Amino acid sequence: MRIVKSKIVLLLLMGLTVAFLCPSPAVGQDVSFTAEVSSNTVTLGSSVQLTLTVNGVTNLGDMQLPPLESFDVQYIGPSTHVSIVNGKYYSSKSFSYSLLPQKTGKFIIQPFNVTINGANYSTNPIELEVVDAATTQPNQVQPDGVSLKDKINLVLRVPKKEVYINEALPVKVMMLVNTLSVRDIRYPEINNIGFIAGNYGQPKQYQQVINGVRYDIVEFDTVVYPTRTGELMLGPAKLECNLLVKSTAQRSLGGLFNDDFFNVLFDQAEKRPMTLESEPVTINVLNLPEDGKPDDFSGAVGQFDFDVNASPIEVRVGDPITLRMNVRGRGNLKAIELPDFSEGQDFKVYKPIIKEEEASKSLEQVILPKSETIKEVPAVNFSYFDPELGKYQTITKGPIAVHVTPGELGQTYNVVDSLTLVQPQEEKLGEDIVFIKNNLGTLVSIGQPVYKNPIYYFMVLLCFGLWVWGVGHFKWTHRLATDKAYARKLLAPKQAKKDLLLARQELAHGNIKEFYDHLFKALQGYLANKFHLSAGIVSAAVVKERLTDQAHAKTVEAIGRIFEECESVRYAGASYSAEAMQESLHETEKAIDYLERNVK
Amino acid sequence: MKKIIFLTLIFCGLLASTAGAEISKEESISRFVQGNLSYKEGNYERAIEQYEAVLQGGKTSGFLYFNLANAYYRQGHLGKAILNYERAKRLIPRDSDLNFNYQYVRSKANLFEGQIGTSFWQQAIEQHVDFYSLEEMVYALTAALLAMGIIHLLSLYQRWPKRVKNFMVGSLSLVVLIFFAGLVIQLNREGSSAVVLSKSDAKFEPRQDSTTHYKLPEGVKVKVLKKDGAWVKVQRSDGKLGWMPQENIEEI
Repeated sequence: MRIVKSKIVLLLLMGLTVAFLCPSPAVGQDVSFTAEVSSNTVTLGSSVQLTLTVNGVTNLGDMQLPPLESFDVQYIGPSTHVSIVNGKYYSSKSFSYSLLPQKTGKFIIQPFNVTINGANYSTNPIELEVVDAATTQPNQVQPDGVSLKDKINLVLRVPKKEVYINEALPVKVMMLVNTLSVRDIRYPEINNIGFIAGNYGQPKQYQQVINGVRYDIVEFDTVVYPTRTGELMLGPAKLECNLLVKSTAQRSLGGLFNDDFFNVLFDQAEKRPMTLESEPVTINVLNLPEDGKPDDFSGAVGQFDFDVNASPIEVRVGDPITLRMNVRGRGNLKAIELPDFSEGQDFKVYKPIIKEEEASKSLEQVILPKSETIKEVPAVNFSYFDPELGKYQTITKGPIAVHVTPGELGQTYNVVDSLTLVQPQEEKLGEDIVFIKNNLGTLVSIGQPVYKNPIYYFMVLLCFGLWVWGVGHFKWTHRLATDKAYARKLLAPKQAKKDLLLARQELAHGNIKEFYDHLFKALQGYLANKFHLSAGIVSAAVVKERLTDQAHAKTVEAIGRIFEECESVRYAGASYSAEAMQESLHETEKAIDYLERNVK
Repeated sequence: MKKIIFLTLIFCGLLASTAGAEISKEESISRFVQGNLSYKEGNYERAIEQYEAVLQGGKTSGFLYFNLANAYYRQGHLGKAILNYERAKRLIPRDSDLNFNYQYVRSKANLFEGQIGTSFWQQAIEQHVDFYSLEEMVYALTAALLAMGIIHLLSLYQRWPKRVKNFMVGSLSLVVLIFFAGLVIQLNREGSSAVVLSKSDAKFEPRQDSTTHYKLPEGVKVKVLKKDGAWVKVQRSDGKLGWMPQENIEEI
């Protein structure tokens, strides 16, 4: 068991900080100082929360912990708690820290001490076990001394440690990660004094098993060129990233939401900034040998292919011939000087145009033959030093046969269009952005997305309204089809209205018997439908039975009177005046209207 | 009737007044083509002027932002280029040319924000969110809800078996849930995002003489949390906060 030495300095610092602020304890509450961790067991790559709480005092300044051995400490912040229980005032202030273990093992965090108003307070020691996430099964043996570096590391690799000056040295910076989650990985920076560094290509991401452990690897490739001889230090490489740390601190949402899926959705995991640093590499840079160095050697180091051609090869005196030279291969192309075709007695020479691509460099030069006696463009040499072979190489191309015919009388040279002979410049080619689009595509108005358009919301609400109407309509028709009593009740006033209309027509024609027939039918039919009864049994007595409430007494009485009047005409041949018939019709309408409004 | 005519006239008037601030489609196309010609001639400044004129006229398109970003890149303004590629990504997220140029220019600005240890769920969610633009998400969500409503009504009126109804409505509910979650994530991700236009220091306080907390390289994406005069409070991808001058940043 190892012991974390909580340093005396730390205790003094904390004590001084607290004492300096002269805190005053809450009245009636004893001052105490406690420390607790969110979990006594933590996996490597997860963090544990340490909380120091001072009870009885709240006006304290921040407490910053200095680095603890085997833990990376990050201050989260303070929190104050105040409560009144049975008239007594309780207060406390807590300071939270996130501890990220750096290696596995059992640790004891020694007591923390503070001085408040001259009195010393200390916490209990805390036991903390750090286990490897890969071996959390109970029957597995914990390997001793697994460190965070075994889980996440940066490696700087070069294929060889002895190179010639100006030789291309491929460099790989590899970030190796095992079972951890890492975000926001940046490009590494290499300390490269004495080297010229190229740009990084697109990083590669893959998995590889190294010493039986599967690693996620992000590989950054670049090339450096040593610019001076001797022992040069390449590196260290530094890379910034954020380690996604699972915190063992309590979450208010509970265990349901405490998994990777919800962490991803709601960005709950703790991001811990890290700077990874690789070991540096010593490179022995050799000078190029003097033995066998060609006179035309201009500093090219690597493996190259060289080609020369000329066109057209049948020209008149003074006509331009374009001479093209191309070097391709592995090496510092920037440092290469292509052979110079200098002006002589045979050719007038224009300045060359040089183009550089990713793995080749080319030169275009216009030359004008001065005489028809010229039979060839002379051979061109290109010399370079091959570091693999350890010696100089010379490639000779040409001579290239040309056929020159005499020019027009008095002509010496053609005037070459100034546009075709631009000033020499280095044009960068190779990787580049994709060219612009020729059409405008779908044109939209700025700041008017569909989800901010009132018409969109209107349409959505309309659709919702239609759906509600559709569901409501279905339910209504379904009830009409299945609930007979409901259907009859619903149709009762409609049916009564038809019969009352017929009665009104008979009244207009003075047909007393027919009028009372229709009036009786209207009232009887309405009451039968309303109370879901057979029409034959509807009478004044039945209505009285159904409407027992005193509030309906007037209407019940009116219905009885109308029934009596109808029966006296229909069966006893009684006769009534037109005014009385009109009154009966009105009373029937009134009774039906009353029942519709007041009886469910 | 008179009221309806009166209201219609007011509505048309409002539409006309809104439309008056914008340039026409023909003018937008004309300026876009002029911008392209200037770009081809290597006159990137003129090309930017033409493209920006379309934007100031209230019109935009994914391809316009793409070309504008290309022109800014050619001028060496990597921050502005990344900003406009980001804007284009909101309109044409699946355009392969755009994604290539975006990654290429970011690598030129030495911005690489790779990640390791992404779970299957995380990859699936990120691919889903990156595949659609915000507007497409809204359309898809609306269409799925509409289809769900229609299927539900059909199942009622056509008296489909309960098993079939539950399967159809349940499947569509899942689609709705997926697009709704995607929409929420995208809104959360895009909300008040900004791009740093020139290399800046993020300070602890909105003062020039305040201590520098961390450095922000050109082209990096941050979240804008607050504005205070000429300063903005930003949050880096690792959650670190800082204040930087407003002139060095532009919201996407």
